[in-house]
Amino acid sequence: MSRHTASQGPVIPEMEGTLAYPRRNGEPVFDAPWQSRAFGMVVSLHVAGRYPWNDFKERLIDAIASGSSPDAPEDTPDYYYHWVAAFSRLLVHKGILTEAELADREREFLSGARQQVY
Amino acid sequence: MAAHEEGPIFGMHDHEDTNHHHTWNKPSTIEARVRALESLLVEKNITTHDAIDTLVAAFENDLGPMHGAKVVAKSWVDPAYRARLEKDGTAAIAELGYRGLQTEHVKALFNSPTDHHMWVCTLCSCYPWTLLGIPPVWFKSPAYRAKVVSQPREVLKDFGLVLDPAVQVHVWDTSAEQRYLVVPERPRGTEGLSEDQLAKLVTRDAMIGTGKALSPGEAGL
Repeated sequence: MSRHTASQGPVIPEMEGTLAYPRRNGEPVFDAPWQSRAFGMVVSLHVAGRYPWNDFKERLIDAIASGSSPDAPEDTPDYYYHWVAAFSRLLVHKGILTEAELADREREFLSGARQQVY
Repeated sequence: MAAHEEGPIFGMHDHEDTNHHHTWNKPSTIEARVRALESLLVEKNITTHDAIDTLVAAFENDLGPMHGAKVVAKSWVDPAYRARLEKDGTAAIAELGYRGLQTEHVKALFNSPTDHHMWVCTLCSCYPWTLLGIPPVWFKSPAYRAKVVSQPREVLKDFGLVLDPAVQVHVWDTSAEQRYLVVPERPRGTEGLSEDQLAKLVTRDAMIGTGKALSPGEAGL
């Protein structure tokens, strides 16, 4: 019961137009594992009551409006790059993370000093 | 093992196992960022790996439409609830705590031995997410959307549902303002089942009208 409650709640955010996440016949499509992890994090924190959906949505709108993501390889859809940027900004805004600790941790993963997420 | 050989920071216990983590592929910047996010959030007890897993699985695998199924099961066992559902679907559904996110203005359609209801969104993708989860692949296919209006019986046949010619078929076109929920007929031989067991018989297709509720045997009860 308890551990699956979240997945059955009204969790599917309404996202239309340019905000619509990539779907194939209505189902979300993830091109890489990092995309589904990012998706799951944003929705799970929302479901847990960490922020109203609009707080994320507004930042996603800003990220998309700011143009193509510098991290995305050319010819790659950058929707989830924006998603991650918006999520990072929201977490910092909420005081859940600082930019510095996020940057440090990212460097650890990039250098291989830290390899396991789990 | 050399002192400075790369090893995992986590899982310090099994360093003797030299086959562990020998290959390390440098992550891309975005991969590193997402890993950083997840590891920090879990460390800070903001979320768990499990919670993320569960959510992703729910989205990827189209979890069962449990909320709608509970509405249907309740209407089977509780005539007063059924009457309220008939009169005002939105309010009756909200009684169970399901509201918002595209469940506004839900009309319940009751299938009977004489009438079969089904719904479609011919124009776009209106769908009561909260009640039914993620729309099935076929729901948005142009083939379904076009054919269900002109040849509903043929479409039902494609789903393996052959209706008696005497049964009247009603096709409802959903919109941004109006959503539907089909209440299938309660299968025979289900008198002894609890409401929770009954909910297991209610498939997503049954609530769209492209299928019937399962028999207890089909549901493994």
